[in-house]
Amino acid sequence: AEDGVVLDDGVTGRLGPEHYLMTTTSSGAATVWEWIENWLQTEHPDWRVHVTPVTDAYASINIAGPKSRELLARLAGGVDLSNEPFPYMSVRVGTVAGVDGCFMWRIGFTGELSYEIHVPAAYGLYVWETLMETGAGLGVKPFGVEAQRVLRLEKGHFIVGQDTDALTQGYGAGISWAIKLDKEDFIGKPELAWQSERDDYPRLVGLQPLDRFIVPPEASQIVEGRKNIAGRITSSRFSPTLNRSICLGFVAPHLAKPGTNVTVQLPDGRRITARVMEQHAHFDPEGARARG
Amino acid sequence: MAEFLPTARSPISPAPPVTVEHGWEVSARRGSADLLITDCTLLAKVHVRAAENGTVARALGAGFGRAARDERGALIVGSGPGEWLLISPPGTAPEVAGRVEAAPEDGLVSVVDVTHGRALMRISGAKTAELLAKVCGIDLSEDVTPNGAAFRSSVAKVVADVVRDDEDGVRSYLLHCPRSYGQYLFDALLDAGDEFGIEIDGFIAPVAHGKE
Repeated sequence: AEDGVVLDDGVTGRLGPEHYLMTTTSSGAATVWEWIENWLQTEHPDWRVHVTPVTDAYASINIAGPKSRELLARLAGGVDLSNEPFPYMSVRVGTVAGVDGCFMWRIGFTGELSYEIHVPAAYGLYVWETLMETGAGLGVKPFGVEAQRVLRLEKGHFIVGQDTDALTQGYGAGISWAIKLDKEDFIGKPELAWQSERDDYPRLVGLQPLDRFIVPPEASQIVEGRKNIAGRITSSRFSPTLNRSICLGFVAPHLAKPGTNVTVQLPDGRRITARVMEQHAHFDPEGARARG
Repeated sequence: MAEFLPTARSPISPAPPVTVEHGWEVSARRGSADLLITDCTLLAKVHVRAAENGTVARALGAGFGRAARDERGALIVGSGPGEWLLISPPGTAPEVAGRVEAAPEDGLVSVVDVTHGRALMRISGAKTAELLAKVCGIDLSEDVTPNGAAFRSSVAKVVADVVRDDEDGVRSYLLHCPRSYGQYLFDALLDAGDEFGIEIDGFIAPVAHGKE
């Protein structure tokens, strides 16, 4: 946003020379639409742009895992699903189970080989049932939000509003890779340019408790000395993949260097030690599974 | 590749008996009361934005706040300044969208098929205004919202578009809202119409019976 704060999280696909499809978080959809319309109508009324919300028009299904391509290939038409013509972070339009006008995105929150398919909403149940029936021999199973939360935490995907707050600017969230200060202008540039020159803001970091079987409750405080608060745990789960607890959290800048040990105060008063990790991702930091 | 037979479903659960028309599950129930409600979600709905006074606007013919049928029977609704919703028989969205896109226009025109994004329902009967008045604050009198009037308002606390579209002299309204609220709005109208003896009437294809 204009204050450099991370507003929402989504992927935008370019469907044509002047046609884009923007996805947002579920709860942020209306906010992002209003924000875009506000900028269009007040700052750029001369721009010839129409924004049409289509949130309700599509049912979205995520197919994730090593066999996701194989399953989708049994139902997709009009799209070559192999890696080279359809790489990670791209979108295609085709048919799924005979339904026209479906968007297939090679994206995902789980870190696995993954497709998010958006089908015209009235066909949502039909496509879901067809996927389950077709994938039965591949061992397909539904997975819910909790499983997704663990997978995304293993991959270090932060959740806006949980791992960030209303003051978290881009560099603090660790997304310097997405900030292009060499662009002529963009919303939030002055604030982010200023932030890039400073070093006084909290950092979102990956954390692992030294005791692998302690899972600090989210919002546990990170402390220094007897009573100084130096951060907090924002996300915390036990990872079955790594057989240990994993976290994201905010720490004061002087504690953000990888390898630093920080003290976490649990709600029952105990204090444990956690180590700051190299990056947010605890598993497969190169994204090999998603890009395969 | 295997043969696929896609089945589309409205967000409004069809009242039994259930049949399939135009690839959509619909209710085959026949109501006989003086006040009827019908789920019409399967109708094609195309959202158009263009200059208020441009060539597309003139071709569509319905201004802001008005609705009219074109020569092919599609209902053109002027839902906002420079904004229209075109409602036509099931499956015709590509054809309707194509006609608008092919029309000459000197400004920006956007055409989006929102068939799946909007729940659409019709209430018909002499008591429709009394029913609507229970859930909507708009003046439904003949002077303010005559046949062909179109407005956007809160209906049962949901933002909904309302079109007065009388049929054969019987007062009738089309209401549409985001798909996610479809079941809720349908149930709210059923509840509001209970004292008037409202009944569910299943969808009837327009070609067969001249009713949408």
